[in-house]
Amino acid sequence: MSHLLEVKDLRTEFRQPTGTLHAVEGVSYHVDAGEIVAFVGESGSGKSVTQYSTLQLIPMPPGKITGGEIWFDGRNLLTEGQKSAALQSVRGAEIGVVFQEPMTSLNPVLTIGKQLTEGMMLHLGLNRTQARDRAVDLMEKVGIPDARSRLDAFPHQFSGGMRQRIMIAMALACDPKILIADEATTALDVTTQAQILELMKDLVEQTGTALIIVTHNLGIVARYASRVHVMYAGEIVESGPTREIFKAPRHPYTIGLLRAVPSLADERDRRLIPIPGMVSSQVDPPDRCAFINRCPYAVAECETEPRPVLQAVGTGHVKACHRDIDLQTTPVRQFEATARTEAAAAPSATTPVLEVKHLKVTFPTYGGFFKRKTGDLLAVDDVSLTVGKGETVGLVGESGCGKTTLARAVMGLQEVAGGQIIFDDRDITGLSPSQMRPLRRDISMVFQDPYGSLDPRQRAESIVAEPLGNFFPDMSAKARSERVKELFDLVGLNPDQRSRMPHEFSGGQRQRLAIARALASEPSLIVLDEAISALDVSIQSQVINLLEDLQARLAVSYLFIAHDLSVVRHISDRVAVMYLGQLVELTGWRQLYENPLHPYTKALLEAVPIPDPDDAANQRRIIKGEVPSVMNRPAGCAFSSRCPLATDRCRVDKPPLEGRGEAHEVACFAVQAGA
Amino acid sequence: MTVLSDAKPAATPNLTKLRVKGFFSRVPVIIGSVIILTVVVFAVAAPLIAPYDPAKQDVVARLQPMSAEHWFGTDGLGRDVLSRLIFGSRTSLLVGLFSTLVAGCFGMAIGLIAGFVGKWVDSIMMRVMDALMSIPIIILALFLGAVLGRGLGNIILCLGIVMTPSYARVTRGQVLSVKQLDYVTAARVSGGTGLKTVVHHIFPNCLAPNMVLATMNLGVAILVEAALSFLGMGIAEPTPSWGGMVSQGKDVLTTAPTMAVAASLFIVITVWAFNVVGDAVRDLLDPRLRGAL
Repeated sequence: MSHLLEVKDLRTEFRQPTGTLHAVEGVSYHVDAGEIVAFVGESGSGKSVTQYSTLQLIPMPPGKITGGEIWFDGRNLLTEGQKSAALQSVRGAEIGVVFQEPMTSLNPVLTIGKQLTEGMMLHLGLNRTQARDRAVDLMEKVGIPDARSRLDAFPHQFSGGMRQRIMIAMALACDPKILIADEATTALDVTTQAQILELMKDLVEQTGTALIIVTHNLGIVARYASRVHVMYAGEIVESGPTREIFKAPRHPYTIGLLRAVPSLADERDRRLIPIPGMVSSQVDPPDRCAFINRCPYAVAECETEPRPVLQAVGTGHVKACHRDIDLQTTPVRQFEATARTEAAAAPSATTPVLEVKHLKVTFPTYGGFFKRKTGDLLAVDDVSLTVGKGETVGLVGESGCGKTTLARAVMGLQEVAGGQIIFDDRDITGLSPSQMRPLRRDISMVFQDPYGSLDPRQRAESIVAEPLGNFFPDMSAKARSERVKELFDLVGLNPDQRSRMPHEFSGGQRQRLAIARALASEPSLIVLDEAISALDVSIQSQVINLLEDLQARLAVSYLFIAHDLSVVRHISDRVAVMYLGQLVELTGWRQLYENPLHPYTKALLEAVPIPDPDDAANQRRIIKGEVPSVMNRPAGCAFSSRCPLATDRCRVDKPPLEGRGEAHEVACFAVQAGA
Repeated sequence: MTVLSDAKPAATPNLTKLRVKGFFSRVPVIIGSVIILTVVVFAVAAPLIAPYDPAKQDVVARLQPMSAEHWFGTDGLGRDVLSRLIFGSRTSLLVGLFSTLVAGCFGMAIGLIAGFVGKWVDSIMMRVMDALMSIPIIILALFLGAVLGRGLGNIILCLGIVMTPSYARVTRGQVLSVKQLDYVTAARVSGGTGLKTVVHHIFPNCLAPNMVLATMNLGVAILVEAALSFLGMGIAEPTPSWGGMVSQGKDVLTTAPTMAVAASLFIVITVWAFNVVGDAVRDLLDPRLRGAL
């Protein structure tokens, strides 16, 4: 027994009405003390189920662990029952888990002190006072200020990042030997995400705990993990030391993932190469390579051979592929044009489609016994922005910074407290819904969640045709159906699928439907509100490419809202950075990424992990603190509470957005003073 | 780029079929469905099934016990109890179906308007509904029955009004949650008017919970109709109704118990069947089970 945890040939199945879903298909791996191991893969690849299976945390039935051995601490955990005392002591005490959703994994009706001490009293046999002392220690260790006084606070009194810290404290409560972080930072803002990951890394270094990171973010893997397991369709298809996986990947899926991911280190015009198609069904799959339908390197023998087994290609580097593939291998088939469509006309910022001038949006706050209005919350504070014809303006900022509110105001879905919105030389500020309606032909919107933005009870064609019916009531049924077919073609969907219901499409296809709907009335501006944030990497790159091609062909303008800086870099001509309702920096994409001026922009860029283990940027320092609530925005510069350059003046006066250099505006006294 | 479209979406082999199969996998649901079907057949084909004319009196053969000629005996006027029960299913079903329909239409209309318009319209409508809800259902029905008078139409209307608030509440709640979903915003952004959005997007997505409520309320409606008839406020003689038969049977319970017992059993079994099937419909349409099956 040399390894801390050794999993051999683990198999997990889920019984479904349609057959047996093979969620985990013979996965073997090991984890040693003090190392960080990552599991990557798209959703549905079985990376989380693998972790839950080792702890028997999957629902049984319908789930069933049908085979394998899990050696931990000299015992085979699989021989213990799901509810046995032995397993109970392993779960929570020796192996801690941090889940994805910090909002739902804490019990809202118990104080965090109670939730923290519970496990300690149970597993470590501490009394109440000792447990509370230990809880305070842990909270300080995970970086929660005023730990003792906050022990009796309820989860809702903490921010998402703080809650995730509490989850980590809980997982650490009994000095676990292994910590499993299951997409633990996915739901968090970039700067918070970076802080949490740094925290976990430090804990690993100090305590010798092993850390298993389950993620779909290759940047995180590159930055933190020492070994990587790439999972696809329930199997580990490649695993090895991080550097080797990134520099010399040997499995087509790994290569595909690396090419599909946008990175801060990219040139803007690098065309992302998506992995085509979707994960094949894992319900009673045939005995052959599961990646075959998406593999650009697949040859005839892949069809006939049984599933490939893992074979060594280097020290600790294994891959499951019949062919000998590396980065230089020429694909035998090509799924999509790799060249970027040339833009029909260069974007021009001089003919603006949309002009936002000194926009202010407020929300009333209510308080007191009678719920009287007590004040206004400034969600968007004096924002000015233009979007030119055929131009893409990226709007970046962390959650709660007011980017969605700004988008809703532009769409006429949100009342405006001040300023002007000018669309196509027409002031559309404060139009009534009936005045706004005819204008909606020219401005459309794509939403974040492709599952929520399509009416589940409408067929695909009527969803796409909806704007047609509203704006062109005279259109004949035949012309409308022709147009729908055309739109399906345009977004790369098969027109034969137009009578399907939304649930019959995948997430990426649904977002294509939403884009087709947005294009139907031939708008001149499309507002994309986090339109690709909810999609898997390979689908993300498909949609980015689609948007770029459409823009080149139709000269449509985009207001592209996102929190992911690497995606924004890929698609935007100009980028605006928002912080607490204010624009802090606005410039062309190249200047922004190569020469960021505002300290907040710098902090954001530093927080984004780059999917390259050798990138020096990955060693940069991480900004401290959290985004304050809009309710208590600091006086003066909103960023002054976190800014390393802040002076007394910043805490009193608000810096205006001023030009600095060519087409580069920034709101910072220190930068403007030339510091 | 078109290569993608050849990829099949994640396995969706006829979910409807699977759901229906799951629906009928529980024995009580099968029994309940069979009972409902039987009652429906009784109601539709009553003249063909019933052995006697339910109104035909035979004073000589009054209050007879169970026998081969009269399975459930005869009543005080010598009418065949089984025939009257079979014909009585017409009353029960008519009242159940139509009062549910009336309540559903009223309730959903009120809920849609209140939920979508909001503000003071919402407050006024829902306070009226709350007021109606605060009065016990039987007492309200008795009051309305007294005001409107007896007769099938009035009973239906009266039960319809009594059950309206529950549909209004359910619909309003559903509207409030559906209203803020992205696809409703998307409909607005696509240039749809408020009315169009309500009709095309909000209404269809409010139907499922109302369907569940309706199946469960059918049983309640039948029960309340029986109670009203039992209390003498329901369907007038000589139209047979189960509640009325229990009422008549109760007077001769010691001498000829079959009538009261048989009529009560019919009520109990039918209401139970509607409840079981209603539960199953709820499970079927529960969003948490969507996609799981």
